[in-house]
Amino acid sequence: MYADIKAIGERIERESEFLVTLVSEIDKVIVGQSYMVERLLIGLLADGHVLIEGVPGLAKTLAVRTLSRAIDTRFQRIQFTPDLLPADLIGTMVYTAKTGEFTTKKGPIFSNLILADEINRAPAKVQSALLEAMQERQVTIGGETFPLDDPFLVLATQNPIEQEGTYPLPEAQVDRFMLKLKVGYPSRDEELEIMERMSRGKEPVASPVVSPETILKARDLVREIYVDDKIKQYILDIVFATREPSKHGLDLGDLIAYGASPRASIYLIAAARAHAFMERRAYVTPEDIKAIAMDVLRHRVIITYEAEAEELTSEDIVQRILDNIEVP
Amino acid sequence: MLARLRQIISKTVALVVFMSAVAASLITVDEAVAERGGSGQALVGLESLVHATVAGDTILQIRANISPARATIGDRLLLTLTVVHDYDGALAFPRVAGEIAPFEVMDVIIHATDEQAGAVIERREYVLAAFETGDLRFPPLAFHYVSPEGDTTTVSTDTMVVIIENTIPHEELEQGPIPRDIKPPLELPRRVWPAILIGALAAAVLVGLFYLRRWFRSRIKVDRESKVAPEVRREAAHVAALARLAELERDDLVGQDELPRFYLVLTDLFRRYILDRFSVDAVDMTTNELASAMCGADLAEGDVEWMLDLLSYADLSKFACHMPTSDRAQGDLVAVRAFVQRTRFRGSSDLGSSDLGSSELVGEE
Repeated sequence: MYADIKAIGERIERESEFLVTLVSEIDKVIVGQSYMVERLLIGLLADGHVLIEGVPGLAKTLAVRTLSRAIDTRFQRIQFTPDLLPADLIGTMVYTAKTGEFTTKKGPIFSNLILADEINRAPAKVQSALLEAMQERQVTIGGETFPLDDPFLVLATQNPIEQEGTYPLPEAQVDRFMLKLKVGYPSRDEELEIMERMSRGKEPVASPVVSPETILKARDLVREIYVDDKIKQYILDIVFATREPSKHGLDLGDLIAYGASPRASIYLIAAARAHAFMERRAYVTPEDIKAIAMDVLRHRVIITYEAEAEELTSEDIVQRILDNIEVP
Repeated sequence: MLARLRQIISKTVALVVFMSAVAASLITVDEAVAERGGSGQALVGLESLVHATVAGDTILQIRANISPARATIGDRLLLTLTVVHDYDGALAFPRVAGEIAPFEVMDVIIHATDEQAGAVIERREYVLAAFETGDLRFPPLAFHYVSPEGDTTTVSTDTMVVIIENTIPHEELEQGPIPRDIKPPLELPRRVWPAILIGALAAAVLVGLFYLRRWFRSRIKVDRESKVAPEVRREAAHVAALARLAELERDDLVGQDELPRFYLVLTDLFRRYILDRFSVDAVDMTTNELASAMCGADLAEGDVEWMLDLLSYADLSKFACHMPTSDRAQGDLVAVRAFVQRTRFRGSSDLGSSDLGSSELVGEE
């Protein structure tokens, strides 16, 4: 068994080399934000959609655009607005007068990387259309079903401020995102570097350094990464602690309204594998779980009014769980 | 001829009977006006009584009565129309509603037709209202009677004058309009102040309770946030660890080739020793987290690196199905025992110091 894991480890060593090239290419454009870039790559490797939340100007859109350019894949940016319609997203049937027939006009969702910019600015029916496509990986236009391309990854951004006139994503729809990232401000040194780069005049642009096939191959390898039963039990301990905290010796029952869904367990194991891949390891350790647990769970743990009154966030609750669940 | 005479006599008797039934207290128009000018008391009612002889011996009698004769504007008046006529004749009542301005009809009651000694008595009551003041004239009402022979006769009641008075007293009206002020502000009676005082006190108590609850909850929050430190049993920490190490050695898991289980037990007892001895929550930490946390402890040089190597090797066994070697396992057992003995609690000087970096390190025994 260990020999198999070792062999996978050797393959990972070889086939994860593209990560160095990819990250360095992204670093040419993005200063800092290594946490966001790393999580975007985890989403890419684990085949899970990512929701990025941060105030304006933190290079959210730039990071996604740069990633798509570096991967040499088809990229579509959709700016979500209140007047956007589902047909603007998925496509529609168009009447051709010349032939007298209806033809299908595919929407921008038929791409590899989708940047749904400010997803909470579009009405619920557009959000539903996108999230349904994310889940089903296929789109039906005029009675005909079209499968979406592979890789297909949706990276959505939303702004936590200026909530007026927005349509916040319901919990059931947020649950479809594997990771929810909270992007913060760059450090002082990083901001100095940003200033210097931008004052040079020419804005740096990433070049394609990785093919989509490499990503798909890496994904196959990620799925082979070994997860021991003790790790699976540890994941279950964490997820169940969000649902029944008292059974895990945690006094959080009155602070959690709803615990994490089974999708949390699925995504925790998938994201942990991708994290292990990025660490060039062929097996998952509790380090991987702890590293990605916050991003997987923060949007799945719904807190009570009592927790809000105590100025606690879902992050505080998740952190408390991670700090108190015994590591195998 | 005799029959005809008998009919006339019976009609006359009926008329007399009817007349006697009408209240004798009713007064005529002239009397009403005279009384208004005289005593000034409210008049009981007005009456117009009309007798007519039509088509020879047929008698038609119409009585119109309004009560009261003096009223205040907006008050209800009752107009009663009573008609006695021949059994064989037909009578058409006037359309009262459209003909009695400045009065208005508010309601109508039509009584059942009564027969008495060959005569027919019809009665209707009208509820009226007037919205003007002064001496209002109630106009004549025209009744059309058709005799058994087919002759039509029109009979009208007299004009009646009804006095409608203003709501303002007569004396005030004579003096002209009197300016009226708005109501003065309502003075609070003195007994309201105790109630206000009690209310203010109650509000103060409620505010106090609110802040007390908030303070209490903030205490709970602090308690929750401050991770409950495991009971530090520093003095017993090394005793428990050494006992478990001895037990592990006795079990001879290395000799039985149960090395993964050996590392599970070894790392568990090692983490619990760290928890008890250094109050570092090693049980809930990953290998790297523990190594970082122990960097602040006053350990001998190389201890943290050794700890990281031990736990990483154990992780390989626990999470990657790696089969450790017996030599390495024996070596790790000895090394853990040495670490426990080297870092064990040595005296009371430790108790007053902080958790990390205060251990009284002793040389390897």
